[in-house]
Amino acid sequence: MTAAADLPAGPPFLQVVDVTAGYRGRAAIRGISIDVGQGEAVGIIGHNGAGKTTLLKTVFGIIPPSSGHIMFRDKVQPADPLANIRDGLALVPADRFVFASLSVRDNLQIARRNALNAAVADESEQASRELFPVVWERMGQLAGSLSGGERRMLSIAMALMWQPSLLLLDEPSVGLAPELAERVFDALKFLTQSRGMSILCVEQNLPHLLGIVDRVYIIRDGLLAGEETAASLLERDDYWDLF
Amino acid sequence: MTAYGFVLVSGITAGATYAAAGAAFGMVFFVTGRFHFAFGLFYGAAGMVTAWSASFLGWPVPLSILFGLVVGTLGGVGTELFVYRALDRRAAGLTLLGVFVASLGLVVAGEATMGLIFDQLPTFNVTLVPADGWRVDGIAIPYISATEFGVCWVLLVSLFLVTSRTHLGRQMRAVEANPELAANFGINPKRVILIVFAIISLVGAALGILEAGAVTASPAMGDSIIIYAIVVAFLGRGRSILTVGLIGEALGIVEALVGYQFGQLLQSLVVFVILFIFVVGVAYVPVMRRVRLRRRTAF
Repeated sequence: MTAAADLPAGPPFLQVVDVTAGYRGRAAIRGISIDVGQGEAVGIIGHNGAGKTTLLKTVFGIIPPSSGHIMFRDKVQPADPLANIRDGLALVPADRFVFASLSVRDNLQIARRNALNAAVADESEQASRELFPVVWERMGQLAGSLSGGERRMLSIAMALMWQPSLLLLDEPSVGLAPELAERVFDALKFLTQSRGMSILCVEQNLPHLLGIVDRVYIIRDGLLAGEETAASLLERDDYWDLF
Repeated sequence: MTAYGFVLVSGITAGATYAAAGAAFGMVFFVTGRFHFAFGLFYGAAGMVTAWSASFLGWPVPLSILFGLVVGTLGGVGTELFVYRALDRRAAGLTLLGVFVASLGLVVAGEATMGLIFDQLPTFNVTLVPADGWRVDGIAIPYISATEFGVCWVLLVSLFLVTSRTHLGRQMRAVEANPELAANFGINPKRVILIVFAIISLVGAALGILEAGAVTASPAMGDSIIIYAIVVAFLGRGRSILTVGLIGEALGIVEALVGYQFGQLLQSLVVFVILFIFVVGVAYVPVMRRVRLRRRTAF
């Protein structure tokens, strides 16, 4: 694993400090501590059931930590998604990430309500329109009738509506054809590099993930097993031992 | 002809009530996932307290109506807050069955309690509008029927506008589609569910008060409306509230015509026959689709 000195330094934006969380008294993650700098993209990898999604849900406030705490912009984060949205967080889940029975327009309208004001919403809408033009061509369609890639783009466009400063993504490439996954990751790269948005991304597809992140945390059986820079991971021939 | 006209008027009036009750029951069932059988209880409670306060206590009718609306609405909201949510917390996996059983229990206990409070066989009347009406081509249209029809359709159009044209409606549809995802977008599903209960309980209370004005209020007056509400809600699933309104009207008219032609016994069977055909149809269509597909692939 890479030494901490090799890792990019920056002001901690998100700090997860010794967090234990889970479901109905059973801890799915234990004593996890990670951080994300401002404008930094960080990946989380691990085997199925390692606790990656639980970690994202805990950061977003859906699951309250049983111990430890989460700091975002030097403030302790409450276990309240609405408060966290107002503070600048957005979560795109791994599955069922759009309201399938609602139109694309209604999906975007729901997300739009979280923007600070109409100007912010309009600006975000314009940016998303440029990133994912296909979504805006399908406004009247039911979201459930879109292709997997279009739905994924819609979900990210929805999350961008309130200009979050930290985007939490859970397996954005899952179920997508390689070229569609590439388009999604190109968009994410644009968001971090051009707009300074921080990203915390859970992803199994390492080549895609390493194209956008600076660092990767490895989670195994609910515990933090290590941390590596993207550069060091790119030098590897295989990644089997990481999972 | 005049007899048919009168049957039609009574069918349209009853149909409007079924439609509004069905729209309300459908909203609570599909958005919240609660089989709120006690909808009928608060429909009855609203009618009872309105008629009781007006005829027994001598309150002015508008005040009695307000009292009935408050009782019916608070009853529904209280049921969600203190009964259904408690079940959610204790047996999350059994909520649908748990809510149905609890709801049924509430109906039995609530009706018995009303019986005790208001005497053994209580019936009360309230005069909402004058007893007479219009006569069009010899067909009598009582004021109360016109009032029922008008209020029900105002309620239906209001529900339609709320669900299809407002952000609250969008939130309801989002919670119906995926409550977890709704929370990711800053929607509080519990708050939305509570608002749905308030809206449908208010609609139920208004319908109960109308029935108390049209016939007589009694503790068990909500027992039959809930069956109609369930039938209309399931027939109208996935359709707009205005279409649900038309389904309710069709049910009311068919029921009234069957009653006129074949008598009361068959009239009460109509609703169950329609429900049976619908349930069998829903189960039958996918089976037939599979059979046809198998035949096509066999060749």
